[in-house]
Amino acid sequence: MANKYISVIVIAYNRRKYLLQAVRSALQQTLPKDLYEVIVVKNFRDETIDRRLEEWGVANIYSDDTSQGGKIREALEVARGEVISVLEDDDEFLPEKLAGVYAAFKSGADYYHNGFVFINERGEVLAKRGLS
Amino acid sequence: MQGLIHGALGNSSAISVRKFTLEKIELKNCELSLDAFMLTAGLLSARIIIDDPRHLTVFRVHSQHLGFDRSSFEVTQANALKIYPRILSDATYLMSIVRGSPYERVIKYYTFLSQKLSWLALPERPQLGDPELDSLRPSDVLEWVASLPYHRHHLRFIAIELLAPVLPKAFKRVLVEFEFKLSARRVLE
Repeated sequence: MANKYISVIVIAYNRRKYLLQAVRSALQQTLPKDLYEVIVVKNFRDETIDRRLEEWGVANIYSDDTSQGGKIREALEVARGEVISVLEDDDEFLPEKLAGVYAAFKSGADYYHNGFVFINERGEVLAKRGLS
Repeated sequence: MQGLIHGALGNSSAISVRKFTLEKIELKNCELSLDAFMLTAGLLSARIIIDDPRHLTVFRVHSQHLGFDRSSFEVTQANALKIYPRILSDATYLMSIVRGSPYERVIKYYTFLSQKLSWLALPERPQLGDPELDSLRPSDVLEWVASLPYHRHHLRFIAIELLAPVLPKAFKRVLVEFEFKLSARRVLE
């Protein structure tokens, strides 16, 4: 299997509600698919979610580790990317996110942070951090 | 630098690092503060840091998010009692790995001292059994003063941050409740 440049690690603990939205946002990137992979680590099994992740070709790891670090550590064992981007189950990436990460690390970055938008449960924008 | 750190803490979904930087730290010590761990690990290893101002991540604020459920003062306090001991445990480990680095002071303020002060401000908090965490020490005040350049809070919050931990419980509750009302939207600033 080809090496990927970026591994997106999606972590979930108990929450199911937004997980598929989060994963879908990571899959709908402008960056070519062969440059990144998506790995989900969660502490539950859910027939609907697990079937969808399989259809999407997303690595799906079950972990009963209650700590965030423990879940990341388990994902790192299978991650093929040189760069790690974390995505919490209730957040989303916008389509240009991984292209930004790729460009930054290809230009020599070791640490990358981007601006973000706060939304509420109805998807309404509450505030922004970073430049518009 | 403080802008970068202020932005990064609270949102690990906006951070990316090289894999080897995460492999160099003990992730098993990270209970809740993944953002602080990624930030610290990245800064300790990074030669080039990029702060991309573009809005590329969506951060959802919702009622199942303990840190953002501000439906009432009581709920906020109950959630704080659950999460602060774990955050302080995370922060204690991070302090051990940043010691002596160029980022020690700023990381110490954001990941440890500000969390400790918030913990000490809780009117009904239990003792953790660690003298370093259970009381305000002179070294905390000196460190707080030394880190003034990194503070991004408004002046009213700075005063409350340092004052609340040393007040008697009844006054503490009044002040912290006042701060809660005053800062209903602070989390979004």
